[in-house]
Amino acid sequence: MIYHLFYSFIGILFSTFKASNTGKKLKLLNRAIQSLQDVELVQTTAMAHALILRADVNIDSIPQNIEQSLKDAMQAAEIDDLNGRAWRVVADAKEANGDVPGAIEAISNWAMKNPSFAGKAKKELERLSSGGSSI
Amino acid sequence: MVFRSKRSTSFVLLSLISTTCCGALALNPTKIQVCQNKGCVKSFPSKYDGGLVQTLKDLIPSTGTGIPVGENDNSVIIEASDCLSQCSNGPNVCCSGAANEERVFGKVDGIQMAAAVLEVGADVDSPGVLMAAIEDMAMACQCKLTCTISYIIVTMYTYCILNC
Repeated sequence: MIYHLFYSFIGILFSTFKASNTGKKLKLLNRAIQSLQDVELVQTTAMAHALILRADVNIDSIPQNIEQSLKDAMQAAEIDDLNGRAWRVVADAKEANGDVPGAIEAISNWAMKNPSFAGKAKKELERLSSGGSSI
Repeated sequence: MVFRSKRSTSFVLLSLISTTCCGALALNPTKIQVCQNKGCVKSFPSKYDGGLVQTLKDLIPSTGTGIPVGENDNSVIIEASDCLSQCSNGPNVCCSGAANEERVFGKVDGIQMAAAVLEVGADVDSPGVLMAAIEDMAMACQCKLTCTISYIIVTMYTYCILNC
């Protein structure tokens, strides 16, 4: 009983930590993106990197902001996909949105852009095709 | 009239030479190799997502690699490399320019040093705004680390109290 309470307490504590950190992270990333937009450094690798990080944070946040995440990841993929990393985030966002065919397409793009992750991509494709959970 | 024609001939010659030189520069872009040996990778602060290779790419005010940047319209290629054999001085970065001369820069352990290497080795000027944005990104990544570490410490501490 006491252990159950303990783990619930830790869970709540972690959620609080996560929420506050997500807010902080978003604030910093928003500032970075805004400053790059202001000086017309939109077509830079740094911009793509910042957008990917923000998309990742929006997927991890509670509640998730899938729409914004997808928008950021797609924009990053257009600028510079950072060796396919943008497509990995697009896949996560599409999967969270329930768009499995879209996620499969994004994973295929990821594998094409970065052949060193072909093995991982294959496993992901198998998981998505079988309709398995994300864990 | 003669003078004019000579002048125009020399102008054409100069144009031809400059075009050839520019072509040669474009064919031989500045190559920046970043040592990926364990020591060098560990020496670079982990808060910068993607390590030194990504940080250098982020510091270039253009899209991706291989796209013209800098005042002389050179292009820069940034790539990971094997050990550069200067392990005591890491993280190491090697720049090889159009004239095939190689320069190894050591102790590239932060964003300021990375920007300096780009400026000296590849004639790329990283704007301050870009550097500030990268610092913000690093701080955002650090939040994640802090969160995880705090969680582990609090869990262990509470577990110990409960068991005692």
